[in-house]
Amino acid sequence: MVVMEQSEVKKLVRQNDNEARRALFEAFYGRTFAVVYNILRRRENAEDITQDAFIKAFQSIDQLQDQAKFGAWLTVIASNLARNYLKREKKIILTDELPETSTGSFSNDTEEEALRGLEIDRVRKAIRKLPPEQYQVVVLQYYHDLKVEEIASMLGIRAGTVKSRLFRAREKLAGELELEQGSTCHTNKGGGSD
Amino acid sequence: MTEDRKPELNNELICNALELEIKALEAPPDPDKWERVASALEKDKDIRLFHLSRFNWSRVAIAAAACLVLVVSGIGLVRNFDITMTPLADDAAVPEAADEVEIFHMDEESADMEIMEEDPDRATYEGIPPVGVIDPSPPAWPESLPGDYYFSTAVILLEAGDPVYSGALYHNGSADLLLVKKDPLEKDLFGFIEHLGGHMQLDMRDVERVNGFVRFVAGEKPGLAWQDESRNQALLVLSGQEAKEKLKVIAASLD
Repeated sequence: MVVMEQSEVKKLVRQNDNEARRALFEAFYGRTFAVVYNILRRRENAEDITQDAFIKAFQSIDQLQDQAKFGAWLTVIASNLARNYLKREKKIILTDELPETSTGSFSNDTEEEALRGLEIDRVRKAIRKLPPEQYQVVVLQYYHDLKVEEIASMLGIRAGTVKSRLFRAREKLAGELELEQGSTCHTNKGGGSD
Repeated sequence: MTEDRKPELNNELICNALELEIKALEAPPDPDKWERVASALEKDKDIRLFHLSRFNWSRVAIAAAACLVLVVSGIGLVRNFDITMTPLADDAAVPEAADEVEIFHMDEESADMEIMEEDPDRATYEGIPPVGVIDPSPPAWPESLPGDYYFSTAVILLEAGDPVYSGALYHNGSADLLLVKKDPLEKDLFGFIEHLGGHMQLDMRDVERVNGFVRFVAGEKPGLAWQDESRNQALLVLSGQEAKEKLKVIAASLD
């Protein structure tokens, strides 16, 4: 993944010629695809929609006021396209298996690190179960670091709706974490320690 | 002790998990993919240049018609404002107490609509208009609706730059209505109402199904949604007062 400074992103958005667009495409393609893929679970469709999102973004780039937020803006366009696609194509049955969520704990990790790794894996699994509209706001807040009001404005919905989606998403993530932890404790109590 | 450690869902944990998740699902930007994007943008540029190079009478006619509608509805609004401000016409004495003047008051929701249409900064913030823009080539909306409502403006409600709803504003001198259509038909009428509420930045509550319609309260005003063979539709009172039953009469007249 190409990591780009905000000032560089701004410069490229302003420049908006073929060379600048290509640089933006290379910097943001991977993460935008990942978000779309998480929603659609079909690689081919996710690729097409990610490309469509870039086309749409470049076509209307002059509407973007805060150029530093190109990545978040692109994510909104791409995830909306993915959500609309899902609504249209309700007959999709075959979906890809996403890669394992294991963070790859090693034997030389401390117990604390290993537990942390397990927690992260559980949250990742729970993230995959979020409905698209909740996943979308979670990505915008926790990955793109946007404020509730900014998310509301980008999605064209009320701040209250964003808050309730975030609340429900956190509730689901917490529930998943609690559930997993509960079953582990139960096993341990039953003498499951190796 | 780590054995007693209870997992706690905090922002850091979500951020870490999300970062790893996105990293795990990333795919490289192949040159082929860029070529497709670049060629689509090139085609788009050619099409725009082609359109610019042609003098298109139909577009001019549509633009002129849209201007006319705006001017006429603007005059209507000003007249209405004047009438309510000075009910006794030109020679009427102005009441001394300001409280005695019945000023036409536009409700908050309706005022928001106007700001969103007229304030370019707000309408294009982050490039995504929060509610809508004036529809330059509207579908055929009825000229009038029962209850002496007359068509004033056609709008497109956008989400992330995409048109999601077609809408028409109607006015009858004391209330403003918004008629909304959404194609294609989605069976979940409740989902449609919820999404529309989110889009219009209104709280939707008291949603109930009554005789083939779904009644609801949008903000503090009544609303009605229904389905026909091809689409979901809704009527919302933006300002003024209108009875729920009247909304049903209007909806029935549209079928």
